[in-house]
Amino acid sequence: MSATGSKELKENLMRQIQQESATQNARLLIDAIQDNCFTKCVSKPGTSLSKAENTCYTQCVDKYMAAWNTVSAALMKRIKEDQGLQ
Amino acid sequence: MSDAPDLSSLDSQLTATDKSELQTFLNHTRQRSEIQQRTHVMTDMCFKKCVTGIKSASLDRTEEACLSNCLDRFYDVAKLTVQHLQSHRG
Repeated sequence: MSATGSKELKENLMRQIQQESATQNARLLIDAIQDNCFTKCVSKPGTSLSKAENTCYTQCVDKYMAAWNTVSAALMKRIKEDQGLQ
Repeated sequence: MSDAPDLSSLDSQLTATDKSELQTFLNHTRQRSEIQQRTHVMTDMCFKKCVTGIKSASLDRTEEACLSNCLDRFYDVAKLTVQHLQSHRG
């Protein structure tokens, strides 16, 4: 085995793992956004997406991402506090 | 990401240092992924409770406070579940 080959293989694997993880995270976020915002903004589906539904939906997407960040920050705080107690 | 890749098959191709570096990286990624998944579950639940109307693209102060309270109260309840069930066994 060569040190260069090993390094290259390691870096390739890390990149793949990182990408797969990011893709999975994005997919979960997109599914949750669609589920929540469709429920909130398209209560009675018509023959096309109305202007109001359109506006509501995009605002909801932004709101959901903001909510994700808020919950994430609260969770990180919680985890840090719990670790401090141990 | 659910199945941990089997690094033993890479034994012959990786140096010991690279292998342990990769293992550490894998553990970190797995841990981060678990936290992200927990964040998804909590955001989904708390968004339903805290965001009632979509009138703007940003969270107002009440919604923001509700979201972090939602997470903290969920953890209180988690503790309470165990405590309460244990009190039944006594």
